[in-house]
Amino acid sequence: MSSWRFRAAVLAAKSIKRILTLTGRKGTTLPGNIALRICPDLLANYGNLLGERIVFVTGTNGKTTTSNLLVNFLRSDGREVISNSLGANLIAGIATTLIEGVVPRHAHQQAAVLEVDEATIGNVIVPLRPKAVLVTNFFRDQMDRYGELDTVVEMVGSALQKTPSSTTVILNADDPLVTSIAPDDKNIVYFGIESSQFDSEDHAEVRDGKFCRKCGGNLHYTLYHYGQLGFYRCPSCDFARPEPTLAAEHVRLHEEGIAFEVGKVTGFINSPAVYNVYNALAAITASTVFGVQDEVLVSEMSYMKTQLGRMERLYSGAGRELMLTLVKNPTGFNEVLKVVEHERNPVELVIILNDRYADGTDVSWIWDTNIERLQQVADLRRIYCCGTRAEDFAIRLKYADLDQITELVEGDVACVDTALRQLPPGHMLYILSTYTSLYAVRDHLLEQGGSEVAAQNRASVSGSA
Amino acid sequence: MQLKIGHLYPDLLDLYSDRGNVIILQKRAQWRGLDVTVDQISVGHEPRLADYDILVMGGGMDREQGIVAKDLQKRSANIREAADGGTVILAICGGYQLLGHSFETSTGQRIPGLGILDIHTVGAKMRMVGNVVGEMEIDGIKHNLIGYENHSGKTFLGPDVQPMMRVVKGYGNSGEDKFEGVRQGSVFGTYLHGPLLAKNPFLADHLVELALRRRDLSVQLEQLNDDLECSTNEKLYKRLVEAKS
Repeated sequence: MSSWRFRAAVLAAKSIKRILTLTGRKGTTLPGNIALRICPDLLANYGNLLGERIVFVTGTNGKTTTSNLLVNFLRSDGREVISNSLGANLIAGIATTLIEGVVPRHAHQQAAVLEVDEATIGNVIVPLRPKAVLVTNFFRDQMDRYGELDTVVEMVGSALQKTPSSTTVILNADDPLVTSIAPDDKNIVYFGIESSQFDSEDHAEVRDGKFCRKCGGNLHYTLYHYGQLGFYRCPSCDFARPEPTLAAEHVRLHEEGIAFEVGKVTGFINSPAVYNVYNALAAITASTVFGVQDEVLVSEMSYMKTQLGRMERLYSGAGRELMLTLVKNPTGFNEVLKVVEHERNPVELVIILNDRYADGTDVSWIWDTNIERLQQVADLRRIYCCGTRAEDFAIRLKYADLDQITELVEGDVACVDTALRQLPPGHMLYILSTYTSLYAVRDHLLEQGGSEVAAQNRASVSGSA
Repeated sequence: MQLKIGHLYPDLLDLYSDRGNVIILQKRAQWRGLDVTVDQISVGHEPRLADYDILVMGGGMDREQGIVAKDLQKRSANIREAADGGTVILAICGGYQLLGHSFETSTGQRIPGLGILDIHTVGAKMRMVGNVVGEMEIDGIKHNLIGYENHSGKTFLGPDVQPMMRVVKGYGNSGEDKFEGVRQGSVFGTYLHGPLLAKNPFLADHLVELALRRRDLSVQLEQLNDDLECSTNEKLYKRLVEAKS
């Protein structure tokens, strides 16, 4: 491989990026695309430059939150970290991220946390030789893109088989779909939840991974965390939940978020959704693989903040409390519904349903949500629907006997404003949005004088640790 | 009046939210004061299917569909009796394929179906994915149907079935003949999700009426307020068909 090709590719990509930026565009993929065309083994060059300081994060839900927590941990440990935090997780986006972030002369001091799409990981794992690959979970999601879930699980599974022997594979022990693709003869570290206030013995939620992927048997569960995540084993073969290397215990609601113990350390995450505990565990596990200092990790764990728009607590300009969260599949949506049920204050809802490519063009998944549960929520006064498929959601609500409190509003931002204006005193607004409206709504709220909730819980929890 | 709905393999054929069709049929019948029961019927549970007014079947992943294909063979006579007796059967996607003569995978493997519908399906490489608009005639009235398809199987029709609708937008059965879905007697099969009945309430009512007329020919369902469903249907029709042409 001639290094002039690599240099030419990087130069071309950077020039394009500059032009795109001048014309007011983000340019998260085009520069990488061009560079890959000029230098097909561009990524292998970066794999060499970064040595073994790359981590991949993949899976259906939690990629962005996990990546961002991990970036925070590594930065607090004094490392220079590159990441594709804008979520450009296909090959061109990854290439663009590396071109922009890696400084060849001191690349030996840099690390990269890369969120990688499930269909892309197979193409980038060999050239980039990551130190660690982290798989969060698998749920049915956006089947318009990759077909059925088995296909997605297979894609990631075959990528894991290709990992270099120096790679550590970090897997969610509680998800049978994830552990079913544990590669042979590799370093594997598992994370999981041992005990939690949210556990249930109700299996109605298990929709994916009901069957053993090794032998086809019906998996038996003794405990469910959420979705198909829990304590499972196959009665007909030896497939079972592996013992997690890093486990959370005593997961519980605390203040406005969730607290849990890992060994003697108390972790706190400022979001009341249990799935964020998994994201935190995943990031903590990866940090230990990277040798982050214990005192840094303990301090970081005492207050973890979730990613923008992932069960994020905000205040509107008028000081009203609200929660903004991404929804994109039934499992995530149902977890949000549970949080709404546990909310101490009366709640109103805004649901933004779009069907643009990044949202998934098939919106029928809303019929798999347990939206009927909202019938039981006392004082739920109004559900506002907007987005390109607002009416689809309104129909879903009608068939859940919630049409009396449903209101259609044209325009995402207008809808949020209407909801805030009409929000009764003491009520809280939950905004559930598919991907393409999430950041626009967040930006709008902040432009109107809104603010993020500060880290006020840090003292109270670390005191108890 | 009673309406007995059987949901076939809800635990195995549960891809793409087709259970929505069961919710919709149930609710629309209840809103009219009918006494509705919904039974979940899966492996190991073999009630007489002719006792049901409506049977609904969704699609599943390949693995699950394999299990269902085997189990269905045991019910062959049972389902045939129901179909011959006028029980309305609505089968979506994978369920639709399984009611045909056979499914041939892209690797040449031939999985036998029940042969209740005169169709056969051949697996193809390319997936047919996206919104679908179809034109369907019910009792002499033309309706626009809105749904969503996501399949790689191409389904070809024999002489005993009629196409359910003409495709205005999308691929349909095979992507070749501009038809989508089939009807043979009281058995309906289609690739459309959405779920199918969500934005097409006229079809939901048609199925319920057909089922009830099995017992009482004079049944005429009272009109419900479907303004929301109809305006959504029209809005999407405009967006998907008129905007593009």
